[in-house]
Amino acid sequence: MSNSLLKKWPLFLLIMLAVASPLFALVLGVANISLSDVLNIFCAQVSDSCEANRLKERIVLELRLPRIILAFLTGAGLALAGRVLQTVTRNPLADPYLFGISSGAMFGAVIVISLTGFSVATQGVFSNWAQLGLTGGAFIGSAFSVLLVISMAGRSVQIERMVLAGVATSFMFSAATSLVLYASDPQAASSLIFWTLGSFSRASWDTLAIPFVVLILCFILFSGFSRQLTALLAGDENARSLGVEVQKLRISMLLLTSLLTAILVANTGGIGFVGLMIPHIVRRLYVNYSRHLMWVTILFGGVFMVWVDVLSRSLIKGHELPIGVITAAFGSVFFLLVMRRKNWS
Amino acid sequence: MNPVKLLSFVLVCVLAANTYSMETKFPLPDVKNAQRIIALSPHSVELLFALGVGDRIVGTTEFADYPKKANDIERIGGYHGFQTERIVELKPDLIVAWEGGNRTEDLNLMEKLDLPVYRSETKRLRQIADEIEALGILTGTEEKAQKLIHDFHADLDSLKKSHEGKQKISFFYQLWSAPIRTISTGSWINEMLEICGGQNIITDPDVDYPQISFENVLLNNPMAIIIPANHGHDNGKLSGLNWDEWPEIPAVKNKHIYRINGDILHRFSLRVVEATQTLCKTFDGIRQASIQQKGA
Repeated sequence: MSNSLLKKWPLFLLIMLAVASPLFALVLGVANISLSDVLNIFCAQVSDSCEANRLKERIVLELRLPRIILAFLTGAGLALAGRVLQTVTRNPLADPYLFGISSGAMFGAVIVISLTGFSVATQGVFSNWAQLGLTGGAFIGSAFSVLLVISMAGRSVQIERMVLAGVATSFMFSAATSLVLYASDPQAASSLIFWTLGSFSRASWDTLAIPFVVLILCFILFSGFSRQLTALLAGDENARSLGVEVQKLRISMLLLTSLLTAILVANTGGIGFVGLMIPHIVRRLYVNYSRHLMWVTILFGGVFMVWVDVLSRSLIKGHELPIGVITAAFGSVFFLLVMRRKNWS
Repeated sequence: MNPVKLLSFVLVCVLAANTYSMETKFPLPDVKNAQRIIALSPHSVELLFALGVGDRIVGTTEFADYPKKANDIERIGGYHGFQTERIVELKPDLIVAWEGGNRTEDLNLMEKLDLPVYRSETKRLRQIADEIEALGILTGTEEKAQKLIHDFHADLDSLKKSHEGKQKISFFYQLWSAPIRTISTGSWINEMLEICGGQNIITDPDVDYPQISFENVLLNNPMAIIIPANHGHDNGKLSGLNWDEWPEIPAVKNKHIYRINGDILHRFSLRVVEATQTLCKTFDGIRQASIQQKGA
């Protein structure tokens, strides 16, 4: 018993990281707040015996904590979306970017921002409506690109055609987004560019509910279909012979991932490479735990993104680097190194 | 003219102007008494009108809207660049360019075409006087220029004198809300606030327009928050932060959040005097309120 538990140490390590990383991230910021301050603040929430500095409490609970949770949800969600897409299409390159889901969502969101004049940072009374409009725009954009990709895939849904159509759709929406940016006035363009590069700085408790619920929902559904998804890996014919309705499964999974991606894009902007990279790393590092891959992917993506956010806030003093820039820059280098060392096949 | 466009153009240019070094001085072109002027910035249009030669401007940028008559001048470009062919066609005998604010490639091209380009380069508040002087020489209005310069310095000096020794007002200047960007003590906009006894809470010596974290503002307890706005209209784009949620900040608690016309705050024109007067009045009001508060 203890032997089999010991063998699972990589899983326990990951769980420990998932607990420790957000705590560490909470301590980091412009205001000087120590770990004992943070623990004290949490203690004060549940018991009257602890007393916390009011301003520090507000900084930790209203500025930092929602931000870290949003980072975790985003990393987890994008990694999950990437994993499901890679399975559904049997394509190791699949991620929300490849199928135009991200660029569709981005275009939808950018259109909403520039048409309504809603500041991407709007808080207060209008925040819920603005957020809803933004999410809606992002989802319509991403759903449109998914439908376009599926309709181009042919009656037998050929994966090669889907990938090519996805690349074309992705470029089409990127061009449209660039055009909107070019036509916007400089102030709006600057805010839009900052937004498209990804940031967690707009996180607040009000806006966390939707991403959280959608992520949990997708996780439950994906887990429920995990047997069928595994069957897909063996090829469409084999899956069909096992009783899997391949077309239906593929299309519904694609729509679900586009919903998940759209929600995340609407809340955080464009954050690339996570959906591609995390599932690959997880598959390599946790090769012996295939039964747990789904939640391992989620935790790994979440922890990764919390650390990316820490880097974004601390790499340059006083500045906040765009999240998408860090994920792409560090992610690609890290990915190349892992590929080299592991002699990727 | 869309006021948001206007302000944002100026903002972007203010930021761009910052990237050039202080030392470069461009020589004046050999022009006396120019009659067909193309002015490539809103502030040089304002200065030319102040010199009484606004009617000699034959072309300008899409953002020049002051004085009202400036709106009738033909537009030959803007933020995305200039129509050089049209500029040549207008046969200007003087082009007042804005080094740092206009695209360098555009200006280089105009010079290559042997157009008489004067590159004005203003970095500090008082350097507005230098540009007036140069424009006076180029348009043959030296006398008027000297009078404007004298009044400009005198007005600022008297404001400065009357606010010396008064209680310092710590302030946060919300230049931009997403990401949060402010002015630092080194920027020329800060000079106006300093004249009125303002004390910027952001003292980054290296960057004039630093991006900061919201926590910076929380920790520094500003007594006032200044938000540059357009013509008094606030359309929400420029005030994305909801300060009401943070009564811990003295400026929020005492309702000392002020929106001040960004056009007069961010342009190198003579209206900066008006801007400084408004700021000083604002700060005086805060001082009054704090005295009353202490008395109560």
